[in-house]
Amino acid sequence: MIQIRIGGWAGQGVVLAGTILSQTFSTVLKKNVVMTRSYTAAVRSGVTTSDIIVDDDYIYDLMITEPNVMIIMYQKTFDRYIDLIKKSDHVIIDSTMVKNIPEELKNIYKINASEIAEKISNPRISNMVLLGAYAKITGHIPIEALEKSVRMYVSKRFLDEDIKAIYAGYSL
Amino acid sequence: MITANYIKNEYIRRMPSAFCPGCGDGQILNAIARAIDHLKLPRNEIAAVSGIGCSAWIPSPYLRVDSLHTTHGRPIAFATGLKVANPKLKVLVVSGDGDCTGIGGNHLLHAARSNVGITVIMVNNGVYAMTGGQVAPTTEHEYKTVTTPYGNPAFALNVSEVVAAAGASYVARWTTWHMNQLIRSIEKGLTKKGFSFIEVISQCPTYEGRILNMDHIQMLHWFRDKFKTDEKGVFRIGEFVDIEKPELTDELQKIIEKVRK
Amino acid sequence: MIEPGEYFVEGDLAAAYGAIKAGCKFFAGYPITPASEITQAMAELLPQVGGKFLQMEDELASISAIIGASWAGIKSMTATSGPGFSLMQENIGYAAMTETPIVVIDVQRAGPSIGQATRAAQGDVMQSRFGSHGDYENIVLSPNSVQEMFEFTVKSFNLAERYRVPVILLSDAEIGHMMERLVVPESINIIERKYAKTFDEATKYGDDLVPPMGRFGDGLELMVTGSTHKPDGTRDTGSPEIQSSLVTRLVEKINKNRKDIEDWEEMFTEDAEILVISYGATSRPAKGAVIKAREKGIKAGYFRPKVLWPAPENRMSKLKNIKKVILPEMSLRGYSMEIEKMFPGKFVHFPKVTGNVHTVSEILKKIEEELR
Repeated sequence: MIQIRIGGWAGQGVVLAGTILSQTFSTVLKKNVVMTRSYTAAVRSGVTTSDIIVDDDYIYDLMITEPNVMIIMYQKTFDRYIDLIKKSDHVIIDSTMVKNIPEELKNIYKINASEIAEKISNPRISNMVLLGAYAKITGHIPIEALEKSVRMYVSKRFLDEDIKAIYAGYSL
Repeated sequence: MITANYIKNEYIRRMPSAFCPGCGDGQILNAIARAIDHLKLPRNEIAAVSGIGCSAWIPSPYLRVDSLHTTHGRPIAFATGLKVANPKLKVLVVSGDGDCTGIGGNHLLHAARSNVGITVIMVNNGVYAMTGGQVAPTTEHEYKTVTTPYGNPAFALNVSEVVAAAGASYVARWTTWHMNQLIRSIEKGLTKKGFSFIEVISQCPTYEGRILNMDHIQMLHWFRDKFKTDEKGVFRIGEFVDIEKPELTDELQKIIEKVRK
Repeated sequence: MIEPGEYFVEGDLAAAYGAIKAGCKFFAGYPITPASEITQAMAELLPQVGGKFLQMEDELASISAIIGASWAGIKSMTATSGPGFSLMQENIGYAAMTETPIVVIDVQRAGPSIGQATRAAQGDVMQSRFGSHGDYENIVLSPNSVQEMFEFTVKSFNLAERYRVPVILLSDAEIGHMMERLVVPESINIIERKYAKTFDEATKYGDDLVPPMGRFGDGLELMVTGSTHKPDGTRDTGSPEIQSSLVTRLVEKINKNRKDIEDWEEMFTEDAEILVISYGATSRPAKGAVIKAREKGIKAGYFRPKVLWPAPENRMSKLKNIKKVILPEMSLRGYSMEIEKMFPGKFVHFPKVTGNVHTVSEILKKIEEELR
C-alpha cells in the first residue's frame, strides 16, 4: 500500500495534481486507487489536500494514516501537517513556497518547483514539476506512465508546458 | 350555439361546488372553459396546475383536463417541469395572490424571467381566503384583516407590474366584471409562445367583503366603477405587455440540437 | 455516450453517469456543495441524450419541477445536500402522497444548518425516511464506492418506477468527492414505468398495492392531488376511511414488498460474536477492521445495509450468538435508533463527527476494547 498526500493552498492545482497522479496508478498502471480531497468552501484560499491511497488489494481505509509520501506546496500546509510529515518516508516540498523547515527534519527533498515552473512558462505548473520529481525520488511510477496520464487529462492548450514541467522535475 | 349547459357538460366536472355563494372563482372557471372552447383546443393537450388556496380548486377538480393540485406556493415550479418535459402541453396555472406572490413569489419572478411558455391566471382577492381572511401581499395599506386587526402596516404589491418588469411575454389585468376581456386574454395567454400572466381581480364576499363592507354585487359594481383601462379609474386594468421573445422550451430544444449535431 | 468500459471518476460524476444510463431525461437542481458536480455533469450530459436540464431558483422549485416532469412521463432527478435536502422535504412527502417516481440524491455534509460544506457526515439518515410530515414510507440507498454511486443511481430509478415512490440516494461528501475506478457494464437492467391506458386502470392496484400510473397528455383527465384522495384522485379530506386506507396503503406498499427491496452485504456473520454494522463511506474501514480482527483470531462479523430504508430487519433479527454490535458512523444519531432497536442491550455506538471518516485502526481498536 502507498499513501500519498499532496497539500497546498487553494488555487495551486493540488486537486489537479492528485487527479493526474491517481489516474497514473489507476488507469495506466491498473492499481486500485482511492483519491479523496479536502478543501474549504473558498475557491482561492485555504489549505487544500489530495490524498491518494494505492494498493493491489481492495482499499478499505479512506484516510491517510501512515503516509509514504508528503508533497507540500505551501508553508501553512507544511505547518498544519507537520506531524504527518515527521512520519512520512519521503517529503517533497516546493522550496520556493516552503522556507521555514525545522532543522531536525532530514527526510526532505527541496525542489524549487515554482522557479522552475516560471522558467518554463508559469509558476502555476509547479504542481507538474513536483509530480516529475516524485516519480524520480520514489520510483513508484515510470515517468512514461505519468506522461500518459497527463496526456489523457490535460487540455491541448497546456499540454506542452505540462509535459516539459514533469520532465524538468524528473531530471533534477 | 355555445350555451351555459354546453360549457358545463363539455368542460366542467360534475361535483358539488366548494365555492362560497357570490365568489368569483366560478366565473373564472367559466372564462377558462370558454377560452379553451373558442380556441378549439383538445382537452388532452391541456394540463392544469394549481397550488393551495380557494382558487386552486378552479381547475382541480372542476376543469375536465389533467390536473395537478400541488403544494402551497409551488404550482409554477411544478408547471415548469411539466412544460419542459412535454412542450406540446398547454400548461395552465391557476393560483391565488397569496400562493402566487407570497409563499411562491420567487417562482413567479423566475418563470417570467426564463419566459417558460406557461399561462398563469392569478386570482387576486386581496386576502388569504381559504385560511380565514389573513393579510396578503396584495392587501391595501391600512386595511383591516384578522392578522392586521389595527390596519395593514405594509403596502400592496402591484403584481402585474412586477411580472412585466421580470420579462413576461404577455401581462394583463382584468376583474370579474370584465368577463369578455378576461376570456380574450386567456385565449391570448394560451396561444402565446412565452410566459403569459393574467391577473384577475375577483370578489371574495366572505372575507374581502367583510373588510370592504360590501356584498358580491356591490363588489362587482365597485370593479365596474373604479377599475378602468385609462387614468379615470382608481385602479388600472388592461393589457400591459404583449410581445414576442424566445421561449424557454424552444431554447432548450435548440441546445439539444446544437449539442447533438 | 458513456460507453461501456473503465473510467477514473469521482462519485458525483458516477451518479450522473448512472442517471443517464437509467434513462433520466430531466434534471432540475440548485448549486450546493458537495452535490454541485452532479448538477454540472447533468447540465452537460442531458442535452447529449436529448434530455433537458434546468437550474432552478431554489431547491423548492427543483423538486417541484422534477415531480411535474415525472407526470409528463419523463424519468427525473435532482441532487442536493443537507440545507437543500431540508428545503425539499415538503415535496418529498407530496411525491409519496401522489405516488410520483422521482430520484433525489443527498450528498450528505456535516450539519446541522450550514455546517461544514465540504466535509462528510451521516446525519441525514433519519431525515431521509422521516423528513416530511405525516405517515409515508420511501426507499433510501447508501453507496460506499464510486462504482456503487453509479449502480445505486440506476437502482434508485428502477425502484422509483417499480413502486411509484420518491427514492433517496443517500451519499456523503466522502463518496461523492472521492475518485476511484468505475466500470460501466455492457448491459444494465432497467425497469420501465407501468402506464395506465385508461382512467379506470389508474385507479386500481393488485397485490403489490402499486397502481399503474397515468401520464399527462394521454387524455385520461387525471386528478392528482396531495390532499387526501380516493383511488380515482377526487379529494376527500373529511372521510376517516379514505384517509386510513390511503395512508395505510402508502406505507404497506413498501412493507409488503420489503423482500424485493431490502439489500445488504455480510461477512463472517455465521459464527460472529461481535458484529460491526456500518453503511456508506464508514463501511469501507469497518469491513477492513473486521478482516484485520479475524486475522487476529477475533470472532468479528460485518453487516452492511445497502438499502437503509426499509432496513433489513428480518435478516438482522436472525443474527444469533452476537454478544455486541458496534455501529461506527459519522453522526451522533445517524442510524443508531434502528440498530439499537434491533439489538437491545448489545448495542455500542461509535460515532465520529469531525468531518472525517473512521480509519481501519480506530474501528479495530474499538472492537478489541469491546471484547475486553
